[in-house]
Amino acid sequence: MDGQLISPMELREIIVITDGKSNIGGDPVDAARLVHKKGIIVNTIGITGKEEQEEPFVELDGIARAGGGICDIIPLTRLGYSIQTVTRKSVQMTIEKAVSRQLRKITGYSLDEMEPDSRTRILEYIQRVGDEVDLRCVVLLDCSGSMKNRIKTAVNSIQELLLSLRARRGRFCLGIVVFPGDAGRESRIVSGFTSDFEELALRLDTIKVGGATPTYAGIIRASEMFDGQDEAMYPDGIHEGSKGLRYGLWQEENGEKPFIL
Amino acid sequence: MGGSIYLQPMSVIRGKWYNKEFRVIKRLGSGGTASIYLVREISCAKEYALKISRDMAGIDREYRILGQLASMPYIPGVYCRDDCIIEGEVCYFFSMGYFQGENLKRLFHGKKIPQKTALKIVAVTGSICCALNRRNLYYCDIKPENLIFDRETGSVCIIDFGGVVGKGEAVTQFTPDFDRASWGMGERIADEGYQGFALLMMLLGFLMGDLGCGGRDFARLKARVDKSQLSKNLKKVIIEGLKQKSPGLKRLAASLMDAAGETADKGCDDRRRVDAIIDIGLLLSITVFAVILIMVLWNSGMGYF
Repeated sequence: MDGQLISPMELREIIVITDGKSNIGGDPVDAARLVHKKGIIVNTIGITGKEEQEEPFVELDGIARAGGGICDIIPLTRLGYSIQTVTRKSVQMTIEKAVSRQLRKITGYSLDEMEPDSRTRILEYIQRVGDEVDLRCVVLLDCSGSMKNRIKTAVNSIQELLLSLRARRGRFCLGIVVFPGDAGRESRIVSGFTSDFEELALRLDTIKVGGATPTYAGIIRASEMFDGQDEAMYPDGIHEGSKGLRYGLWQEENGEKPFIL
Repeated sequence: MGGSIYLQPMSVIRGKWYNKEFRVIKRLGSGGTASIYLVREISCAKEYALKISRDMAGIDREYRILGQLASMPYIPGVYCRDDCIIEGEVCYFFSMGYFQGENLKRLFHGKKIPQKTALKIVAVTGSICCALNRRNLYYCDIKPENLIFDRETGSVCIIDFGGVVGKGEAVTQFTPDFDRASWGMGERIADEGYQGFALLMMLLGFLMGDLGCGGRDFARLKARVDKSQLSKNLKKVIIEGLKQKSPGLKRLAASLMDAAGETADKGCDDRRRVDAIIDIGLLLSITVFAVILIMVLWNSGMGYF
């Protein structure tokens, strides 16, 4: 396998952080499915409280499944760790899937169907690519009323994520969308794509809490941030191939199970 | 929720490729996305620790790393790696040596321990890390839970190699209390400074019973160290090390030992003696050389006249 085949691509991810179930607007699972068709991966992190029911987390699991991503349900104290693990693992998993699918085309076997000793070198390669691939990420943060006591930790954990991303070899940038937005709107872009820590910290300070949980609208808004980014990032058009990879290779086959942390 | 794989005691794990069978004895714990069980291989009745996960890449990576370290002491040896099916899902596992003992967190229960013991544990851990670093394997998730007091050998052993990365790479597995970046003291990148930070945090935990800072506020921690009963020298070494002013792991371990009022070890003593002999030799040879030089000059001077 030639390193050039995969390394110049960019992965696109949305990370939904919420503590509850969507209660206004369309079904967020549909939104995730729609967004994933555009080659974007949707991950979910659910924050558990003490007296929470299972129900909101079934929805989050569904969103991650439809969005080709990972779902992690954790207490608030583990959010900082979870957000960076979920991001890293989903990058890894996405590449793993893409490579596995290619392998299957070429050799007739997926990674699972190879003997452990022979797949180890392929996994090593996948890991390297995972660290080198460019990453464009939107954190979609639930700012509904129930997040009131959790928002500070959530904001800190977004800064945590930036720290971890900075240590990767590949380029990265991060955008922030909150839902609901202010003045009765369903969502608000807090920060466009940036890799500047200071700028992001300033923007994060503007986050306010209150309102319902329109997860559907949030996911759609977050995905719209990626529109028109291709031209900006790749003026020479040499990365057309990577676009193909993004749109084609990891489309979910029906019934495929997502990786759950 | 999610990642952990629950196996009943007495259930059997059967490898898909190499057909080895293991009987589960008990659960030992879980870390990250994997679970660890004490198992007995049915064909030979040997006991192993078995790490199992749905994360293929993670299991493969750790097996690969441990395989490279097969001959090293204080580190579990790996034996067999395979896939199995649990509740209809493919899981990946490998078996490794089982250290009979408790991890240091459970052993000490957050109680203070004597300074000498604490320093020794930290120094030993540091030197194991040094040995790994030489192979460009940076062990970064240094914490009491990952250190086992092996009752058989009476030594400290390291477990959980899932988070080992190369120098300068992003640290993927960490614990906020021991993580340089979480305290705002540097990047989350694998280097000796990162390891030194974790080691010193662990040392502080041992000496003070706990780190006592939920918010991970470095100024508060520093104030607490300043107020503590530790010797002035030791305080200085700890604070400078945490501030990333320590020149390297080896030197850090040495200065910790010095601060505690002990020489690092006997080997070092011998070295000092050797150094002293070399010094005397050097002085002698310089004197002889100078005398010869003067004589030559004197002679040539005589000839000129």
